[in-house]
Amino acid sequence: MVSTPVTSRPKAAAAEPARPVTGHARRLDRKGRTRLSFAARFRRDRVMLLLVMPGFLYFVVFHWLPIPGNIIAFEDYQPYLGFVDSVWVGLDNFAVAFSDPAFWYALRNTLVIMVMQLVLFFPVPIALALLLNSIMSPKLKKFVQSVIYLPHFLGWVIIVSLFTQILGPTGLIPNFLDSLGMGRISPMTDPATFPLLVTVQTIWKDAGWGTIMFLAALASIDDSLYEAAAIDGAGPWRRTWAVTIPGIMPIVILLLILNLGTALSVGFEQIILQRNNVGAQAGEVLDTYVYFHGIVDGQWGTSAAVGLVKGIVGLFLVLGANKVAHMFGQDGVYSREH
Amino acid sequence: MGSTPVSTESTTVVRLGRQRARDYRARTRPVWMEKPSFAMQGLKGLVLLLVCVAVIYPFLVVIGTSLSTQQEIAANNGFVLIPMHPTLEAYRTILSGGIVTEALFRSIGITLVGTALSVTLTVMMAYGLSRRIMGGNFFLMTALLTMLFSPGIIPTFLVVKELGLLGTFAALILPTALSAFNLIIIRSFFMNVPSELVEAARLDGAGDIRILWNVMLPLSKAVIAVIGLFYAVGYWNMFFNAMLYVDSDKWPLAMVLRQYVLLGSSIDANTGAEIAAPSQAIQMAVVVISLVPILSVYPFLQKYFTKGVLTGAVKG
Amino acid sequence: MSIREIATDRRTFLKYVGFGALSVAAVGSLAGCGTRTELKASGAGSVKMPTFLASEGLTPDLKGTAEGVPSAFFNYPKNPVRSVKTPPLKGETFSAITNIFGPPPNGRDKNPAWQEIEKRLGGKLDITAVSADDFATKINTTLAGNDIPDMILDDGASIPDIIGFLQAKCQDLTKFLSGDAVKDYPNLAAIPSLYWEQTVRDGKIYALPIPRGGTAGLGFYNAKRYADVGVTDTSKIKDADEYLSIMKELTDAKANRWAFGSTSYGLATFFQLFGVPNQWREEKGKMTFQIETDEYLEAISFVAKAAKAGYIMPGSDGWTKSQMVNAFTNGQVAQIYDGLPGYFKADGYAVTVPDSAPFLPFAAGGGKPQANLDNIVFATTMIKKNDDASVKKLLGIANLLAAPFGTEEYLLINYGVEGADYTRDGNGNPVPTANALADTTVPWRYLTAPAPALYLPGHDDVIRKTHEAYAAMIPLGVANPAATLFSPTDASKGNTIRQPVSDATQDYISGRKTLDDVKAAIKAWKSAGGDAIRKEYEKALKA
Repeated sequence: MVSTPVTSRPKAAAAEPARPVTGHARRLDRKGRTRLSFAARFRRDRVMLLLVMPGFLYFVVFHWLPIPGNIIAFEDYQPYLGFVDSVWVGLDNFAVAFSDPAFWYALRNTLVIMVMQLVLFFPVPIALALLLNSIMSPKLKKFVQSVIYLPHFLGWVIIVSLFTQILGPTGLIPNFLDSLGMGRISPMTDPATFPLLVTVQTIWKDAGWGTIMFLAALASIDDSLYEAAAIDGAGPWRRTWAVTIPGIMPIVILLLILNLGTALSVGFEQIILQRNNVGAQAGEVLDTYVYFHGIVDGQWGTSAAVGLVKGIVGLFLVLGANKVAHMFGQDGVYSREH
Repeated sequence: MGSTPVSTESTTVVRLGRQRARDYRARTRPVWMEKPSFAMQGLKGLVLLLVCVAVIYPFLVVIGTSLSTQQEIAANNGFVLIPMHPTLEAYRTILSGGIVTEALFRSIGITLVGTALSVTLTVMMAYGLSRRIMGGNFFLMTALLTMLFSPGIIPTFLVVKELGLLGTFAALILPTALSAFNLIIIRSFFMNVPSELVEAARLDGAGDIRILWNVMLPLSKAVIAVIGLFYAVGYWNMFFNAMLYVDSDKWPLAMVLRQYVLLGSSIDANTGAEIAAPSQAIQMAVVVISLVPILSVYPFLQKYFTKGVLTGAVKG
Repeated sequence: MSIREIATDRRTFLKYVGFGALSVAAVGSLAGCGTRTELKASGAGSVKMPTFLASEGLTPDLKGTAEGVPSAFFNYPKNPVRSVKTPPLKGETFSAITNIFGPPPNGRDKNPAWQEIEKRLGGKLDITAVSADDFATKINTTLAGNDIPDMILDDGASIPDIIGFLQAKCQDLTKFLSGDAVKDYPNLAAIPSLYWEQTVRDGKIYALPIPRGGTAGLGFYNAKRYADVGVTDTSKIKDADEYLSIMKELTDAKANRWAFGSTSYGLATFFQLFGVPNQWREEKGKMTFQIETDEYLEAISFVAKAAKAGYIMPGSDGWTKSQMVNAFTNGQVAQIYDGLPGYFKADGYAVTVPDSAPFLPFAAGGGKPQANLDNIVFATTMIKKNDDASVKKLLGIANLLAAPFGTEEYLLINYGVEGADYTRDGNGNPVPTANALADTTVPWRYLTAPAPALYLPGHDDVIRKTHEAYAAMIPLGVANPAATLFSPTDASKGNTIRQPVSDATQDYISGRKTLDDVKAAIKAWKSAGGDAIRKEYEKALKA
């Protein structure tokens, strides 16, 4: 999908065998394509590089410069002593976490919730976007689009309180079912249903907000493709399958991969508000573990250590998912092809 | 993708005038937009109804509670849909003294400047990375990895301090100016722009910047609008930077309003109880006040990411 | 042996070999290796308290006691005294960082109260006001940036290695305040020694107190509902069984009423009822932590019983503060746990829930009724190391902030400037104007404050009831012997190793786990650090 730069010289390169060269001479890369000299490439790309620079600078200054601060994962860090003067404890912080059964509960819960959200939450905005897209009446469409994102702004305290009102131990639905003689259910205090509860709450809060991205993607699909498909005799389902889905597939894959990278951070405020209801074994996730086993004692090192672990796992997930995407012919987040 | 579609909208409008164009379109519904079956419509309608109720209900409840008295709220277990004796007391309390109003204007300023800056930086970098350039993957990686590994609070604080940004508005904008997530999304969109268009522009003698301006941007209005919205909401809701880097005289709205709700949302069983928790009405009023600007801005952005944007290609 | 232990031993070794005098310097040099000083922070006994000089002139309507019962006033004196005649500063600017509760205040230029206070100070005080939730993050980033303000709140939790920090960066105030030296600051001298004792660390006076009422109490109950089932004085309840049957009568799930409901089961109430130690119990030099005692198991078993029987509102253990307040206000629960300071404020329980009253303790487990002295001070304020002249000036600031009830300064700090922020009614009481809140939330009183005074104009009965509650509970007060002691292990992982016990307790009461699980968690606590903490506190006691 990428246009080759006009200034490359493919023909001449194909004939040349690979031979080791040094310096700025023209040479072949792994795929047998010509590699221009450094200077030539710089000339060709200089505008693009210029455009990239400010953003790159931002990342360097505000992310990469402070990243070595994560060294505190290996220290017993006291802020007033600083990075250099705090005691070095090596892998102690990690060891303490890994030998703590509470950490493994937290990890397990995090993974369960993450998978459940991937399976149950992720498709919902897509489905909603498709549904909205297929509405004929522009007024109705506009109206629904204007309200569907509202719960995103309500904050977890409110969402959880509303849930408690409806599904809590003395909430509307359990009261109702109890009065019908069906016994009292209590989904909000049941450790077994906690991941599902969390996922349902996330769907309620963020599914609408998530549709925005997909609506934009749908809007970018060329109408003529639909026209062509219809003329070829494709019905609505067929058109969805043949035009819509492939049209939004790149963004779907992209979002999936990106979400995998940050998936281990399933949510702090939402969880900590409900952890008491179901107990630590079911309710702890990595972020709350870090809070109760590090931050409350001012142990910033634990937080950094778990953060590193999360980052590494996230990295593997992203790279792995990216590879899988390539196997399906998608670009994914990045590819060497590009 | 080889077809060159006809841009029906502009030509029709030019020929018939706006209103008649609308009627014309309604009459000549495109062949791929047939009316679905009745059952299908019914099903869709049902789903939509449920969705709308699910999203509007909490919103109405929040508004209703913000207009209620504490007794009514307590009697109704915390949320009131339709208050019996509506009162603006909560809003009066919050808005009196002018602190909230000041913070509101500050937030508007921060959001406008911040969003403009962020979108510009993001688009620039995304475009720069959308084509194969030297070191491209390296730059991309530096961005991507920031999503996975975040620097700690204290190191970032030290960087901001060393840059002399403490206590300035810049400290509220710069540290979170770019999001790798948004960057990668826009880059992906740019990469998916048909290469023929870029080729065509190049043959016309356009340089890289011209291509960005004339080809990429017009075609990516939808996604740029969405990313702009994400950034704007991020700036609007930001409080953490404010807490760390500036004093209360520069606090944005989110930080000020947060003070009102912190005590009520505490789940800490240890209470020094220095002051009584603000009434639920105030907490709900806080939510409404911070929602109002978003609600006003959203409809304007909406048209960018819904159908109707000119998706036609360059002719000829 | 971990590096920490080696380093500590090296320190201790140096001391034993007679380099004790160098130990202060050694902290500096060893800081390069990052030691955690295991310094003993002895109790107040080792340092002379500031001489107590009661402030003259003012007679409370209900007297307080030296043990900590606050005095009470029904009205503000019509002619307040000016306690600080000469401004302590000469144009300097100092900085402070402390908590703020409630909305941010008007800035200095728009705030007549702030301006007036600074006029009386003779200089400026730049206050960084941080909400309690953010304080740990903010103070630590500030410290990391080496930008330490002159007055720093010590909330007891945000700086774990407090002794190390005090020694490295803070001013030892003993020579300025101990004994008769405090007479230079009359308002500080008027703060009883009970509160000064809380500021002692490492055998020195290191901070300024922010006094409070002594005990946070046992929560509140709905006196009307209790009276309906025949109980007019909770201190007269005989024992746990009677209490349980009272709870039974108060509960009627169908009518939407329960006997009790509080975040995390409001365990503080039950701990005090069953005689669980106030954190630690000291007996002949031996320290026992609350979770190790039989009373602890008794207390949580009782709560578990009550929960199982349905007397505790389901879901209440996960409540936010607002949810709890709502449930208490509308009568869903007849008893909650919240601190006493939340009772007698203008928007406190006494006003919003007129039927409420402080729950007075009875001895559920036999023995004497108990109230924990867990609210003697809100926190303390440390002062950064500085030259003597500056320290004296800062103490002068503190002196003004500690102006007692009845003075002009107290009125100014708490109510603002007459006219702009309040008007005086017929009895001399200030009536706040609409602007008042924005001007008066500047957290002056979270830097230093006078001995507490109960005062709520127009609600004499509330003040009376509150004073009675304090007067009843303070004599039953049980102190925490470890309050001013320092244990490095406790500081670095105390909360972390207590968490599993707390989780197991919550699980047990909710029915998810058994008592054996709780016992196992307690045992794990001991080996995870509990025994080490005990040893450190015992050592500190001896010193």
